[in-house]
Amino acid sequence: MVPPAAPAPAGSVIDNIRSTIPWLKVMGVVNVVGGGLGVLTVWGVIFAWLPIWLGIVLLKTARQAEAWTRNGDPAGMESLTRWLRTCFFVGSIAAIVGLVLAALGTVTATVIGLGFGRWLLHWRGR
Amino acid sequence: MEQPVAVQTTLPESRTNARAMSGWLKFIGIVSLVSGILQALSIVGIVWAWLTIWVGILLNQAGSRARAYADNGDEAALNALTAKLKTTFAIIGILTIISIGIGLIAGIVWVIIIATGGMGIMSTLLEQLKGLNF
Repeated sequence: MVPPAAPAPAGSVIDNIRSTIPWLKVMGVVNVVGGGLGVLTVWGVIFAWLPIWLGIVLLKTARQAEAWTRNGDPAGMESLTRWLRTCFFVGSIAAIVGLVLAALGTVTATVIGLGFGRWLLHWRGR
Repeated sequence: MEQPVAVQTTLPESRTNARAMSGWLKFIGIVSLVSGILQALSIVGIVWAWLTIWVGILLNQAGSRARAYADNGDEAALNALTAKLKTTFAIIGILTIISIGIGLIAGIVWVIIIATGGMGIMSTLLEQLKGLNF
């Protein structure tokens, strides 16, 4: 249980959030478009949902940030922090998927590399 | 010119969200930091690895500020958290735009190479490779 604290003015907090809005929009659009292009490829469909989801969350966070910086209502602040939390949650899932894919890629590249090396040695000795 | 708005920044639910966010911020920060160090080890990667490391440090600091805000509910911690997030999103945004620009230039260069007889060069190279004795 988090104890409630006294209300406080937050001019610079609002300024910070206001400056973040354009970047949230840029990254949101880039992720949605990137995910959309990924859907067009055969294998991309498997992972394209992730950037699309992240993009939508970023755009919704930007919209919520715009609304909160206009009126500064407490409910808007709570909603904004909820969306930011979701942003980093989805970002973490993307990072985990990226780590798993990187590990799989490293193993695959090693196996293929070793196999190719053996084939080259065999080919030279023929 | 937009006027500054006086708002409540110390709401219980916001602090609960900040507490949940701090873990994810630190996780992404550590992943970013480690990947930046690995990129730096590749020597060529040093060119951009410092940016990845910088983002990792900022995200870790943002995670600590989020925890401080969740624990104490003070405006200074929230201000520091939003300042770190602002810088992080700006760096990632600029990097994204640069990546798209480089990708577009690379695409155009590839189209030009293929259109100006790259296929002929490739077939000549392949013929020469066939003649090589390993």
